[in-house]
Amino acid sequence: MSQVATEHRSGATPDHQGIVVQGLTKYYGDHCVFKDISFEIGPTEIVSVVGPSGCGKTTLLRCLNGLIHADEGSVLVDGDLVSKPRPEIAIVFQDFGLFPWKTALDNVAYGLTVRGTPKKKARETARDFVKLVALDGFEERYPHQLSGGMQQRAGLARALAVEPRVLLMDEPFGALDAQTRELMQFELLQIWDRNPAAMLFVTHGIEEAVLMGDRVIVLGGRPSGIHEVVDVPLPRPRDAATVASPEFQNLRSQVWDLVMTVRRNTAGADEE
Amino acid sequence: MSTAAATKSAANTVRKVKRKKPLPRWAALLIGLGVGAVIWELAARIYFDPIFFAPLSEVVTSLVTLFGTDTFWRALGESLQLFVAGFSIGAILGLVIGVAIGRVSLVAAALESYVTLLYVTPPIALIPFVLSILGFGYWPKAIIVAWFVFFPVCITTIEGVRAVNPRLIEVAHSFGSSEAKIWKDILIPSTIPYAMSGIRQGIALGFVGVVAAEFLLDASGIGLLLRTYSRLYQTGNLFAAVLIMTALGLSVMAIGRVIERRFAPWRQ
Amino acid sequence: MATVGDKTQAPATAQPVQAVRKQRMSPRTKRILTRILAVLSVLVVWQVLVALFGRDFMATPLGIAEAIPQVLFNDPKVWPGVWETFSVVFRGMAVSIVAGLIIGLAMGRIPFLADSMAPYVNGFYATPMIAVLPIITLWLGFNTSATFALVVFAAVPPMAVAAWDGAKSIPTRYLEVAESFGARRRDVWIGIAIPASLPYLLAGFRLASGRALAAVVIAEFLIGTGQGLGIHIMRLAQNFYHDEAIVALMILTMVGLFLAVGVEAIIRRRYPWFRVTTPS
Repeated sequence: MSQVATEHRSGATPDHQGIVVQGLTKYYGDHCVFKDISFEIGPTEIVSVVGPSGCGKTTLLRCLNGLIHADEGSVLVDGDLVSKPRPEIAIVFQDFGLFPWKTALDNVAYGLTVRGTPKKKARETARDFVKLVALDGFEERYPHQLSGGMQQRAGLARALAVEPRVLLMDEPFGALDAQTRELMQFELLQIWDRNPAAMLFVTHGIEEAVLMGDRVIVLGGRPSGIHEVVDVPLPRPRDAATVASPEFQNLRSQVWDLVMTVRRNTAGADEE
Repeated sequence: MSTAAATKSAANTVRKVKRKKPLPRWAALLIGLGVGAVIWELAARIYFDPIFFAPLSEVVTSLVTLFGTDTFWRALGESLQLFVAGFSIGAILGLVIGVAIGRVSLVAAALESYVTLLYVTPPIALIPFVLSILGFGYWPKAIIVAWFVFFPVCITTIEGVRAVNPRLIEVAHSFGSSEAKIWKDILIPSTIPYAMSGIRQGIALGFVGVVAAEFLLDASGIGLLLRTYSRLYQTGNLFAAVLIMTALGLSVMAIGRVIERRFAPWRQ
Repeated sequence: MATVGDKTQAPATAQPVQAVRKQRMSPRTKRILTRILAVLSVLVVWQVLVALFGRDFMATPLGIAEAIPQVLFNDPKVWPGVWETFSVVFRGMAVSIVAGLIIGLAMGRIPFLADSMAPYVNGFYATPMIAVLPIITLWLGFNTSATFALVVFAAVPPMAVAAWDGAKSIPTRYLEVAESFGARRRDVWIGIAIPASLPYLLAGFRLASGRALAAVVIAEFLIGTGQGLGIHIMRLAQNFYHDEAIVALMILTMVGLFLAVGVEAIIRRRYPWFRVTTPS
């Protein structure tokens, strides 16, 4: 499987600098979605973001890939300002976002074809990534013929196929049942180990955040901002044993307490 | 989610956000109508023979004049009367038969196939038959209008009666409710939204039926006006009459939507 | 004419429905027979009513049955008429679908166009086809061009409204995905708007084809000349050949239905992925 990784790792260059977010602030009208968010993600780091509903996690993610523009602050990827979607930045959606009229293979190839890769070549490349996410055999199926887990693998393959420097995950396993969710977490970690990229992993799940990330950012408050950042120095590769370890459980409690605090703060500020 | 245009600046400085304000909707509407009006006026005056294409100004004058005449209002009254007559017959029959088909399986067995078959037949095509059997006159026209109205009402009513949750009827039966009470408490309230949707379609089709009947059978009402003006090449009046038809059609559709929203808010 | 479901009859064995009563037929057979009888009884009533009260040119079930082979095989005007009428419908629909798509998509994606063109689309939709025909014949004469024009007039608005609805209703997620992966405007319009609106477009197609058929019939009636099936029906009816006229009318209806259903079936086959939510 690492064959695939080396063949497609062509993008690694010395100036792969990861993500730098500085002073990011966003308003919708008068409502402040988040204020003054700053953090960095190294070129091969995973940073998780947790927080109560409404803390702006999703908006933050959209700012990072250029779909939305913040009112203040900046986002740099590899040293360049992000002002619109770029080929180095790929995003995976919670509801998969597959086009129902395309087969799984064509969906995976979409990121390539839409930026001009000839269809034949795009599909060849896509096939490799379909195999990578263990979806081979299902290439010609339509999304409605795939289970949720399979659809999300396709969504993941689509993002990976463009060989991004940055992977943005928007609660990618939120729509899956608990078992599939856990399986997918480990699978994603394995895939990422072989094809590292800077990853921002937004989630509601506290365990998930600790499992995935090198760091966990706890977002929240009124106005929403970075409440605290927790380092997760657990060794990689991570697996079921990691989850069972006492260190993991400690970190999990730590993050849990922080999130509960933030929830109370946010709720408290609401009661006026 | 709106994507605001942003100006590029050096990495760490604050960015100003410019939001493009969209044109207010009424302004767009006015522009659309205005452009159309101008094109109409100019094209008619410059390119076309006035016999074939009356300019907007002439049409407007004709409209105003028309409103002043007796003929117009009488014609409108005739058409309206015809509509009411035909609509009532068609709607009542549609409701009664629709309920009968929906509720009584024997009736359904007998009639439903015919109703569905006739539903897909273009109603206009039936007019020559009515004409040759019943000849000219008021009631043949009313029958034609009733025909247009009957089918949407009947079909939606059947759907409505069938959509009643059979569980509810079971419950009513098990509590010893009489058939009449079942009707009152369960069937009628749940059928009404569907029937109203059918009535909305019936109103629109009834309008079409009136015009068709007045055109193809002995002319009266607005249909007569249309035929007269076209025969006499009074293009200004003709266009004006058509505009009135458009206005009537739009009102009919609007009334229908109001009815539907009042009774069947869950339908699009 | 009437479908009664499958006509296989269960053997008339002595199957007791209840322990007490012995019936000669299975309940299923009984049901099927009842339905056949019900349908036939309507025909019988019809035949009797006409015999008693009607005039002798009026159509009756027996008369229609007799006329069917006559009209289908011996009437030289029927099939050329079908061809003539439906080629106009076909051409008109082709033009209307394209025009309606373009207009509707544009309106769905560009709010200014939606607001400015709405009065025209709605106005044309609400105006009865018959009312517009005198103007059309004034301009184009009493010929097939006028018929064609009326078909287009009748079919474009429902297609445009359907495309408009569909384009407006494209789930934002698809647009987000497209934008995130760097799609250009054109990719979005063609690659996403059309497939995503397919259910709406299909509903619009159904409406439009119904109106197109009505338009052709109206035009043929009022123009009065030509070889179309509509005119043939009208003449048969006027000359008191009602049985034949009804058969011809049935042919008209069946061909129209067949085409509309056929197109829809082809599209569903080719694009198995969408589920139609019928916007009424």
